[in-house]
Amino acid sequence: MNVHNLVQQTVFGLGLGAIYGLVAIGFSLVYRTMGLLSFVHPQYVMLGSVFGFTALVKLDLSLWTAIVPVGLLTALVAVVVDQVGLRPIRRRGGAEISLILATVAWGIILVEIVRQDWAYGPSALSLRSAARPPINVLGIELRWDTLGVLASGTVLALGLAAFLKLTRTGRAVRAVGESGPTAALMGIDVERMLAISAALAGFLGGVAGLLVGYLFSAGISTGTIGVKALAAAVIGGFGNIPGAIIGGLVLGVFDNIVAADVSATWRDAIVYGLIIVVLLLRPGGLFGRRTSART
Amino acid sequence: MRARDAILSRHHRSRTVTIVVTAVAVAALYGAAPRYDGTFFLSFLVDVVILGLAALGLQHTVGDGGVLNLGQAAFFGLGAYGGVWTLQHWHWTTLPAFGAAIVVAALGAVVMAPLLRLRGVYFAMASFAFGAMMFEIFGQAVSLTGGENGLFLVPPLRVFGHTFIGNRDSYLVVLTVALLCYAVLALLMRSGYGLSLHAVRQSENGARAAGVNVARLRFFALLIGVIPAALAGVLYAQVHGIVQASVFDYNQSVALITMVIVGGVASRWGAFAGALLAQYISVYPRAIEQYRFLLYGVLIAALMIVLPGGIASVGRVALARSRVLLGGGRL
Repeated sequence: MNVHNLVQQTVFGLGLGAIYGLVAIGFSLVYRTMGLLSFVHPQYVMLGSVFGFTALVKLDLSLWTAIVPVGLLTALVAVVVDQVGLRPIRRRGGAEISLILATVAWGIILVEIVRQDWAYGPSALSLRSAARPPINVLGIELRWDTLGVLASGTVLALGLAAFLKLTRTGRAVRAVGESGPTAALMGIDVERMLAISAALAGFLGGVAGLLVGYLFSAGISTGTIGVKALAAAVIGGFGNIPGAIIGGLVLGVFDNIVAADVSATWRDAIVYGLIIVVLLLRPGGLFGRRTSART
Repeated sequence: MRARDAILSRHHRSRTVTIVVTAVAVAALYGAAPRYDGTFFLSFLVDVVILGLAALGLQHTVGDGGVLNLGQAAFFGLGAYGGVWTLQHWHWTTLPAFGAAIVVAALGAVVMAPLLRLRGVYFAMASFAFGAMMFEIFGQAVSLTGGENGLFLVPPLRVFGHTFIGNRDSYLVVLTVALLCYAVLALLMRSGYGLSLHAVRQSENGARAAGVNVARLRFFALLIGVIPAALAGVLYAQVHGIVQASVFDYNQSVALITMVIVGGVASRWGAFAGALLAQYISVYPRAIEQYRFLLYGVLIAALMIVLPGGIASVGRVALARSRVLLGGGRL
């Protein structure tokens, strides 16, 4: 493979990587605050993609104006799922597996609602209207939509980081992530922080879904991209939020280069294998501090 | 002394009850074959028992062993492909094919063994990735598995020179295998191995201090749990005559863990109850055709809130409630 191709695949990969990163942040945030592997999270990507269909195709909004409403709507759904589906189990002190299965159930519920004919139906929907022609920079083809996805992903990730670092509420969310009981003793309303982190995860997942729809297509099978984003969260160190973004970009580039130059048929198997290898060798992520995931 | 007698007699009574209930249940299960011969319901039951068998193994791994395996479908598939290879290429019959399936699935468990060092959710993620990776391999290794198109013309069940064709015969074989696995697991849980598992569940450090090799125990919980799934894979292939990779994707792994938890993670028969509910929902509700999986999702979500012990705990919870209502005891 020549350098030109490598750069080209890297550029394409970064766009997809920004999406993986946004989804991975949600996985990590939910894990940090609730200690939960959430199977409903990939379906927020699916929801965002179909909400994006409504916004871009039915309402004819631009990508930029659609981001906030689509994100907020998905965040609302995420909060409802958290409050109705998970909070009663948490309050009872239910087992981890009950919570995981509840997220599986809500994933089924969301997909099945969207699948209905009166909702969006079972087939893939196209969000693409007239895509602008690609521009050339030093012989590298840059597509506007890839750039837009990368830009919006970066802005959102930075926005989240600023929220978590700089605001009082953000600090409270991080405190819950460190230790729920201690945060409660400090007078933090833990349940409220959990709802906020669910909303943040939903928002980012929804926007990621909008971008997925914009780059590829929308519909009920979009959730599989969310499942692959789990790999990004693991690469960055599960629970590590800046790591999730880097993990997303690495996965996007890796995935694209593997697909283009190693084997398109084996790319998914290789990505899943990568999850296992990273978990075994560097459970704190490729860049994170060393943590113990061992028994 | 009197207290001891009382305990013994109560123990004796509950044991008699268990034996009678088990005998009636087994008779009823076998009785379903002639009763529903030639009906669609019987072919439905065949699938329930096959899925329940795969879930039974997972129940052992998760419920008894505390190992949250989210990749059980991989072993279902390994068993199916391993068994079918010997059936098609070497013209083996069902029982030797079972042996081959167990060997292949056990090799899979050995490959997965290093992951057991990971704790809690990390193992869950790694096993999920393992299942997803195996599905990709099943789908792409076309020369071995037929890929998405699958392997066709799998020979029917053949045991001791007798060929079992049709729903009634298939049901009898499938049910017998399932009951044998059930009995073996029940006996295993009474052995030293089962007691060690109990001890680890009560207190891992306590068990370790008492000399239990926890790492080895967790591996055995995984290994023993994948064997019923491997057998279920062979049965599935021989009953349907075809295996396609899509049967063993990560959605199947999630479906199997759902059956286990919905049935009741601590209950062996719960695995079959969970399989019955899942299969019923995916086959029967014609009137609400397009809403059946939505209904399933709502059912699971509600169950996790009101009945975390699963279907198997209905009796116990109802009994406790009625005792409270009658004022006879405390919850």
